[in-house]
Amino acid sequence: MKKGRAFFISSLFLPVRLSPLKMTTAMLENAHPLWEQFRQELQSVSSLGQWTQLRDRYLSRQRGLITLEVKKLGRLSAEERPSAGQRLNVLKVQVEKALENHYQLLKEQERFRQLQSERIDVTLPGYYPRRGRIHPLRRIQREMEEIFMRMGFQVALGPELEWDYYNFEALNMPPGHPARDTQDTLYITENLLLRTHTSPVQIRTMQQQPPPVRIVVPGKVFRRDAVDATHSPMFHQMEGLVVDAGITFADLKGTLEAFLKELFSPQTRVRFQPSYFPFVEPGAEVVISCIFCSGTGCRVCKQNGWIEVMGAGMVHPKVLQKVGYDPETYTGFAWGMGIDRIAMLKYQIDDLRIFFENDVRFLSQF
Amino acid sequence: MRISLNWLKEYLNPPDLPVLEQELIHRLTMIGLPVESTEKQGDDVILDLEITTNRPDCLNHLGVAREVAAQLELSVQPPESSHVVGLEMGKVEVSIENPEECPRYAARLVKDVTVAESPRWLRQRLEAVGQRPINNLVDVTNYVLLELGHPLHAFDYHKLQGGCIVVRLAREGETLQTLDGIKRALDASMLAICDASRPVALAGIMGGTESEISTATRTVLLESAYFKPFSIRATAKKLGMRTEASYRFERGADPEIPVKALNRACRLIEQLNAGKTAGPLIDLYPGRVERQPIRLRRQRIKQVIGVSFEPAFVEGLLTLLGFEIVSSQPEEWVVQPPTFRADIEIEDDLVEEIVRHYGYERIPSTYPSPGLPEKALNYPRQESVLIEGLTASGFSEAVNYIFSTPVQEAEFWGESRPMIPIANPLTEEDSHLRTTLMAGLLTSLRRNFNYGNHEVRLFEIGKVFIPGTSGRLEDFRESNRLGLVASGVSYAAYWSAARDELNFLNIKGMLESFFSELGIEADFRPATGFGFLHPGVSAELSINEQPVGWAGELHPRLKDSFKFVQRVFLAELNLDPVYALPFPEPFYEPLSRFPAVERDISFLIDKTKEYGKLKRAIKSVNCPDLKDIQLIDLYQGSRLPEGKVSLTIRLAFQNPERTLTQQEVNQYCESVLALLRSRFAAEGRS
Ligand SMILES: [Zn+2]
Repeated sequence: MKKGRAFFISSLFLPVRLSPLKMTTAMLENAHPLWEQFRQELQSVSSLGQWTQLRDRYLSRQRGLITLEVKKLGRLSAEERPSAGQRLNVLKVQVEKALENHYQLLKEQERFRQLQSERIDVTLPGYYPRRGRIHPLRRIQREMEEIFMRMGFQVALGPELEWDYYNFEALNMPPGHPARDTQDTLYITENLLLRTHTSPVQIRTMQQQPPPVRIVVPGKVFRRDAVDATHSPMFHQMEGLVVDAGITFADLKGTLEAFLKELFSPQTRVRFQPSYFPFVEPGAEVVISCIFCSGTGCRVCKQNGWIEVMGAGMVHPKVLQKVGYDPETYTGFAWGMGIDRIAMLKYQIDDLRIFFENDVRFLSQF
Repeated sequence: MRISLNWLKEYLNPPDLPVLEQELIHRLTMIGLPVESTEKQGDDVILDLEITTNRPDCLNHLGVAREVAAQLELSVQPPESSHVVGLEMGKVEVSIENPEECPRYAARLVKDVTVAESPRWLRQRLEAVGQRPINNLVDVTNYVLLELGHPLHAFDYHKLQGGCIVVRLAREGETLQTLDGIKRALDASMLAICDASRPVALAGIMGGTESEISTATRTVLLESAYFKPFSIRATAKKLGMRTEASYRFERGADPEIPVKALNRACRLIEQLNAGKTAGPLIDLYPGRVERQPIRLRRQRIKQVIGVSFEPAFVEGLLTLLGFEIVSSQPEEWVVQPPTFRADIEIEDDLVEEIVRHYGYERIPSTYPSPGLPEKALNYPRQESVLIEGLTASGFSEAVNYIFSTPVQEAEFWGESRPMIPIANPLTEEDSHLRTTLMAGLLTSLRRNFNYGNHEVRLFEIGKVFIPGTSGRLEDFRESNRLGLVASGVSYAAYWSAARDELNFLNIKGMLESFFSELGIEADFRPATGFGFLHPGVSAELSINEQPVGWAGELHPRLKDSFKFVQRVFLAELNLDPVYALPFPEPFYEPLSRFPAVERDISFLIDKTKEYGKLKRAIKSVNCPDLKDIQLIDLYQGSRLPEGKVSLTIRLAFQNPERTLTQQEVNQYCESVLALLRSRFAAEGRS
């Protein structure tokens, strides 16, 4: 059996060479004349069909040559009969064994041919399931949402057509406020406009629930800006708001540093500079060390090593009062950043317009 | 705002900076006056500062010097601006008719004027910060503007009819040619500086050409007034004007500086031998407002910032910034902000002043302890399931502008539909808000074809804006929509497989699979009335009998007008009802241990019969063991009678408690066939 198995394995890889059966000397001396004949015939058997014919020719119950020899035994004398019988028995066992071995051999050959015919070129291209991609803006927005959600924030959403009250007035920008000029607004009517930031959702959320509040607000925002490489009448923002008793400017720093290091890299340096937004006090501009040159100066950071990424600050007490929160008890911080801008930085996109062209060659890169 | 470092140092005591230029730039940035750029000019350095809208007091050299002095703990040396005695006689009548808009008006005459070029030092100063020198008198007013930040105006006195000044609102029909040469029509909302009969200047914005200083000017009337921001802002906006003067008045000038600024100008004029200060100084101040001092608590600084400040630091810093400490107690102060700081209104504004100069970078970074809100906010969880299904089906996400035009949408709808117009659109393409995602998606599709991309599957999730039926714009409705466009082959993934062009059933199957993920069963029924769809390949979608959208093939007429060569399939779905459904929660149904029995039934049926109706009918058969109905073959061909199709439907039966007998199953099938025969005139085949 062991021999057979070794042979089986090698036969997978090599065409089988038909070798004559090895016989012991004793066997040869005593061999029945049919044995030599059988051996000759077996050597030319190369298919299972021939094999069956050969088997039947020797072993068939009615006409097999060995069967016929056995039938002839009766005609022999009583002395001759035992030895002739034994010789025939040996012959029969030998033939059966040889046939069995040869059968295995032929099976191996057949399997080998089958495997060869089933061979394929595994270097051909795979049948690749053709997936679509989410828009790069959604991709980066999800990434940012997920970071904040791990920090215990909820996602809040709101309308894109917004009332002047929520967009400006409740945010400490009454009519005539100069800051309204810096956000050139698209109006539908005197009171109805396309929101210029997602801050109105902060107001709506605070109106609907008491502190604590911990939300991020992603969405489309609109400005009356002509389209060019860095401006668009529609872009995307993500703002955030935390309000509770005991919230401080130090918390603002810690939270936004943690977020920016997670979004860009742990090596990112974060700097807070005083700035002005009507709905916060104190206000800050948040800048990070340039992610392209690590602060040594390049084209992206205009050689100064820092990149503006968001505006932030402590929620203005007037804003808290407007939604019915007592600014003596509750403090909070808020921030806002452009999703498009962050995507441009992270994916090294130099023209904002490509986001809205929907070229599948562009979309398939994300 | 361009600031000359040499000029700035004139107001510092000591005048030499204790830090290097680089450090000064950093410090300015860190107190909220970021330096955009620097420029070397001989031994001077020009800093271009970005000044936020709340800090008009920093739009001049003295104001920036005050910030630098506070940051570097130096003292400020303001320029000499004490009263100048007028040796010449002169008399001007000034009256203010609208003190609400003009709370203060100061003026003075300058006689024996010699209009000439300014001396070199003055011209250089102005040029260094980008101000073109004009003549000595105008240059002096500009110098004072850049030094103290207060806009002055010089009139040729002899051009003023009646030799007087009346500050009043313009009258309808009055006009004024401003110094930029434009003749402007004024209205009754605009504050004007007038002589006895007509406007001679737009208050706080720009003078008029008729009273302009010229080489012939002998006597000058210098104006130094305080105008209210709202008035200047409204007029400048209405006329589309923005000048150095209006920019400052709009943001809030210092009501206490007009006389100082006037004196400073008179001193400079005399110093340049350009004229002689005459007569009394006129100072009308009918609109004086007392500002209330502000209480500042040490504990409030801690509450907002998270850091405790030493009282000495707080008092010292506020004093350096020009604030007056009215009273001082261990834990709180009463503080009077300087008149040039119109932006300081409340306690937290003082907190910002302190922390701004203390340095944001010195505040520690902490993490807020988590306050858990009372309830979770609503968030459409269905959205991400949809997006997952869409991307898995080969759709990429598009983002289009929400703007559209009636022309663009009418091309799609085949008729003009009401849309919400934007009152002040920037371009004609942005004139209205979209009512469908299709205009944008078809434009994206066309762009892709033009770029040579022929395998295009795009989806967009976004809002459309539906006007109310009342005709009032404010009755609008925002609706969340899902839009799809697809064109190309159905199995582009398999390079060796048959490349069939996409067809309606591909799109329908995808939609069905998204719905099934959301636990929704949507009905597709042949649609009429969608003019943009192929009339034979269009379906209306509904969920629980409520219409939610449509799907189909783009009408060949539109396909031609867009010049598309490939067939295009599209669908739009209202997501609001989808989001309103409960998010599907699966629950376990015990698995039957008894095998399902499948039977195929074949029959001939009229081509006009709808499979959807047939399936609904089979479902309605009262047979609790019928678990599944599947179409497995549809044949139409010459071997069949005219107008007939052959359907094969596989029915699966299963009972949770026992094996169904052949007899039962046969009975079930027979009742299904009977129904099909009676309701659909089906002819059985086997
Ligand atoms: Zn860089």
